[in-house]
Amino acid sequence: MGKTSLVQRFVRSIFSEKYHTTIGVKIDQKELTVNDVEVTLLLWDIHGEDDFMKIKPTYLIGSSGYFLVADGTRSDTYETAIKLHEMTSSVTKNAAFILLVNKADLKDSWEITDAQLDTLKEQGWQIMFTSAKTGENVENAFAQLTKKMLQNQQYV
Amino acid sequence: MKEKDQTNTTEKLSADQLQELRELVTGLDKLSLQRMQKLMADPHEFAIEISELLPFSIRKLIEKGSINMADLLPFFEDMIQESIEKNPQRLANLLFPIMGPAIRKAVSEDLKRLIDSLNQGLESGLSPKHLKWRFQALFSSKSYVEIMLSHAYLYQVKHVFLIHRDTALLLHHEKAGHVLDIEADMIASMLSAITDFAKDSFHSDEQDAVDSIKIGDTNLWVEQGPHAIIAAVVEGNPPPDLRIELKEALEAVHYNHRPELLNFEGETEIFEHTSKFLKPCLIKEKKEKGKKPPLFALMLLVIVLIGLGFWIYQSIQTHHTYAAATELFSSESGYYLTKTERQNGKLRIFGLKDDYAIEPSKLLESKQLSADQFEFVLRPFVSMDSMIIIRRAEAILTPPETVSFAFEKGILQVSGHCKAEWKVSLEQHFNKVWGVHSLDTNQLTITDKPVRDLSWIIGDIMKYKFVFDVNVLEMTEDQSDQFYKLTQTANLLDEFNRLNNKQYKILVQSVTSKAGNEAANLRIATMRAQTFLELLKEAGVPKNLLETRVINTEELVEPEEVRSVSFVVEEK
Repeated sequence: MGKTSLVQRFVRSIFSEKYHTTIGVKIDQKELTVNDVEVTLLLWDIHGEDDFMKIKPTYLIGSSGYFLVADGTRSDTYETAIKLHEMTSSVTKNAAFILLVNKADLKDSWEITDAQLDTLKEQGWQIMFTSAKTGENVENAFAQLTKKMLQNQQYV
Repeated sequence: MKEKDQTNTTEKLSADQLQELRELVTGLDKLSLQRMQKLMADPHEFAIEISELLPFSIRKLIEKGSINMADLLPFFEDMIQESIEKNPQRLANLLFPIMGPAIRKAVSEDLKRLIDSLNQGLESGLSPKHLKWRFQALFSSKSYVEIMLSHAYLYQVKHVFLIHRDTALLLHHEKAGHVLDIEADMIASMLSAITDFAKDSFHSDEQDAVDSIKIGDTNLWVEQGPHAIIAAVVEGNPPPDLRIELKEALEAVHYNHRPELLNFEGETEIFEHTSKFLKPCLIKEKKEKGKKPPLFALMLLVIVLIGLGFWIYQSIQTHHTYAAATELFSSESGYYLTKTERQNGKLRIFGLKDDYAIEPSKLLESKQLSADQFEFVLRPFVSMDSMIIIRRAEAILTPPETVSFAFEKGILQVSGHCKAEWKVSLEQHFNKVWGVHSLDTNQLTITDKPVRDLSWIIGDIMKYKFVFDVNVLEMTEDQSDQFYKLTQTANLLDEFNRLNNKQYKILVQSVTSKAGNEAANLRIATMRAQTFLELLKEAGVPKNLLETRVINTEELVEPEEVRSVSFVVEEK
């Protein structure tokens, strides 16, 4: 879904991509300041491709927040994102999340429709449009998710 | 009517009066009564009130014997059983801080016994390495097994991570002083991910977990607690004791920070205090080794020095032995050394040796040198050394003990005393001795009679003549004296023959005349000759040296007195 390339330019990483294909996860770090609070995020970039069944629930337990990344040009990723959310929310304690619809630079070619996204919004989902190619909205996405996580922990 | 009056009276009592009445009946004031009412009305409050008294009451009842502990046991057992059946993890979490030490104590007791028996078993280990450790144990206060284990493990704990179990976030990190900084947060999470991955992939049991990962010389040791994990990065080969250190640190963290671990939401400052538990885990064995005096190295050095000293001593001894032997054979008469060389731990001596030189083994023995250290390659030669010439002369001339030789400038000087016979032999054979050109016998004394020369002997024998009267056969007194002297000289001739290997004989010549009866004269002359021959034989002259001859006067070339006996010496 391009999530790795989406975040790679914005995070600090010491581990190579091969961790994805070996143990299925790669840890990166992101430091940012939200509402004058300095936060260090440890990102578990979970390798799952489109088959969410391969994702080990153990990697999700204990997380405070997560991004669901869908490819705007592929409608099937919309369904996968929903299923992933169902699985993740079942093993986390009220973790914050944001759906990132990637390839915002190719919006004309999108298969995911506004109606589909509206449905999710009605269910309380926060949705942001990003582009791994241009970096559009990526920093903002991290800031938004962090803000939500801090809200959950009543820091803000 | 009476009952009705009483009812009316009650109804007429005011609230205050009723209150006063209650206080009188119960003996409690208003506030106390209100408190009692509240307690009765609110079970929660009542329970709180009772809870303060209940433990005390129970204790008193037990002391009084009203409650028997044995009666209570089934209740507690049922409670614990139900709790375990309902949620075993909860009880495990509660017991975790005390279970560890208790189990370790029991295990350590068993291990101690095991190590003691192991110690005895290993006492028989006799490899060089084990002997070395045994020496160290002998000179230190440590047991043999301790020494053995300390040599088996050489390691250093470089990092210790305290990781929150649920979130996989790093709570605290400690590293060894000289170790470079690392991205501890990410590494801690990755460690957690790896252990989770391994657990998910290979174990389904919740209790199982990865406890060690080995990458070349680096080990990752993980200890799992209910709420936190300790991971230690160890370089080298750590001993099992390190795991106990990690367990104790983890238990201490749980004991002191249980609420913080349970309510962890990302704030790690509070866990700075765990530093005091984690730092003791940064063990390195080299440090301990450094404190110990290098006994083995010192012993090895001493052994090497002793060995070196012994080798030097042996070399010097050998050198002295070889030098002494070389000097001995160089100066000894009858030897001529051409070269010496060392080969196969022996000194090979090349040269020449006279037959009359002392044998090498006897020479070495005389200087208390072992013949095993030498090998001789000697060719024969004739030495002109004075000592050897004297020895050669002694061998050839066989002098009596009373005679001694000296040699100088080709002259054999003979001194002492001997018989004339040996002197004659000396004069005849001295020139057979190599190196002797002439004799000097001025210091040699003859102890027996002088040896006469042949001409004197012949002349002396031939001067005797015995003339007899007619028909007389016996010698006169004068003639007997003469005959004795003759026998003396005749014996000298015999001696001369023996010494010179000659065959000179004495011819007893009896002369007669033709006057009268010729035949009778001849008979008498023969008898006279035979009589002298017998007398000479009796005097010791060998028979084979004697011969008789009878001569008629007419046969004589020179006129001889008739009726006489004379002597002629001839060579056979």
